[in-house]
Amino acid sequence: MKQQSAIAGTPVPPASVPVDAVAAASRILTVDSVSHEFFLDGTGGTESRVHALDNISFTVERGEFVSLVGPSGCGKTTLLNAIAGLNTPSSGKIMLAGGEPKAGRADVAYMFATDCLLPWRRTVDNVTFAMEVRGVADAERRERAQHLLTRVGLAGFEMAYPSQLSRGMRQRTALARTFALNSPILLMDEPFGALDAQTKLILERLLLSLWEEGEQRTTVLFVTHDLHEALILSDRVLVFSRSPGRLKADTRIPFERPRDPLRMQGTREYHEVFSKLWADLGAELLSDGSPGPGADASPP
Amino acid sequence: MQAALPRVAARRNRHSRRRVVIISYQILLAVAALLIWQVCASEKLLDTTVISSPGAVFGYLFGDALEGRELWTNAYYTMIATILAFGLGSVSGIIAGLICVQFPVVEEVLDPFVTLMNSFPRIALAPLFVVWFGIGILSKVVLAVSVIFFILMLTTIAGGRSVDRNLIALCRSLGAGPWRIFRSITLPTAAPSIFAGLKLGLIYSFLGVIVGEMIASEHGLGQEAMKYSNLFQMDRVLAVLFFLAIITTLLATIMTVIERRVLRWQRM
Repeated sequence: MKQQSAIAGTPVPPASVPVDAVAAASRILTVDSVSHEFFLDGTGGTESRVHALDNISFTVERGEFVSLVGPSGCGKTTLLNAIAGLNTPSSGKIMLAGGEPKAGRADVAYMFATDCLLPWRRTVDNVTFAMEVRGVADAERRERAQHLLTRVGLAGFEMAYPSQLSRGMRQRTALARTFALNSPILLMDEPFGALDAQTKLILERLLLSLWEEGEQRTTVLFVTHDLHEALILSDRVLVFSRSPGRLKADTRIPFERPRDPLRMQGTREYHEVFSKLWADLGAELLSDGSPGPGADASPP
Repeated sequence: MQAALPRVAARRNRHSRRRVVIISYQILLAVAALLIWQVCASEKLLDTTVISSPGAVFGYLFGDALEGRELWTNAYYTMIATILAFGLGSVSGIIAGLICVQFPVVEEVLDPFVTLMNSFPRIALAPLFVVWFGIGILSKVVLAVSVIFFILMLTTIAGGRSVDRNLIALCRSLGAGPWRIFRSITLPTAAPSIFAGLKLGLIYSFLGVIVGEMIASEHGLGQEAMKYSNLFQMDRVLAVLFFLAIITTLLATIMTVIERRVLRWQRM
């Protein structure tokens, strides 16, 4: 694994793709001048244009854990879905592991904000479901599911139905389902957004340990509005501005790995990085720019 | 997990005790109603030539009827027709419903016709079906199928519509095709609603067959009830109807047992 640089907080100007031949070899994702707008039906037959993403460019290295942070409505989920191939941006280009984004690529796993468990399947069958769709052989499905359910602390709950599980347990199941796919690229859309603070912390720890234990580290793109969460998990945090979403800052997080989210919170370094990032994000939250349609395109 | 188990057991226990109390009251209520009827008939408060009495009804049912061949033969013909109609009507209705769920265009095109046909009093077609298909099994099966086809079609559509968009998104992100989504998401989502339709359809296919037999038929319990009704043998009519009710209840119970098995996850 690449050694993390200790230089915290090097914001790059948005809309610039560093052209670096060395980095290009290990680059797994290139987002190049991506913009997205869509139309909303207004009252009286009018249509208003919503500028969701404005000229976003960045790259991600293989094995990096990158968080996309921004106020709600900044288009971070739209961008993640574009990378997942679930929607197509109006303009710009995305290259993911040498190919165009496409829904259902075998090297990409997507984890949603909701657990997306099939209510008629037992826990173990929910974990095997994703592998089933991907065509993993039955015996291997069972084995991987059992291994991961044990890893996420759900051994003994294999035969329970989702309605019998707590919210945290359901999201653990979703985590097991996602990791069972062994996909080298992991896209996560606020996976812990609906959980209470304590459960969230426990699941963040779990995610980190699952991620850190693989021999070949998975590349993770993690969308969240929770700066704290982004900070304890990520190698890099991309801060997005309010609608229309622009890349406001790209900050490297210098903490050593493996990390323990529970311990990090008290350290001085944590607070330094946090306040620096909060300065970027807080400005966005407090700016009274209406997040509505047709926001003007003045430079940041 | 271990802590959850005794709680489930306790809940089941409480649940079953409640069941016993409810069933006791139900039996009590039925017995009381029959007693009142019997007393009124014995005391000549009711005209027994028109409404008979429980004694006469059950006397006939458990005497001549169950020992003779007529009731059993007719029950056989009615059951065959009912099962046939139920099978044909529900399978075709479910398939039609699923096609509408999978291809919303089809549903949009068919919508006015389905609404029209469904609001049509199809039971009133019985005399027409007798003319078209004769007094054998075909006319009553067609009548029953015409009733339950739409029930199943509409309940299937209603169930299929409630699909969770998030689950579809998950499937899409996994690269699932339309057939896989249909099989793994749409069908299980629609299942509870389909079962509700099946239970209703079973009762209605029975109803359709009986009405068909009452209009004109060679065999069947409907025809038998009609015959005794014309002969003013009300104890026999009621005995046949009671026998019918028992069969219907039995079939509905079987249906519920199957439903409980298939939809286990719903009761958790």
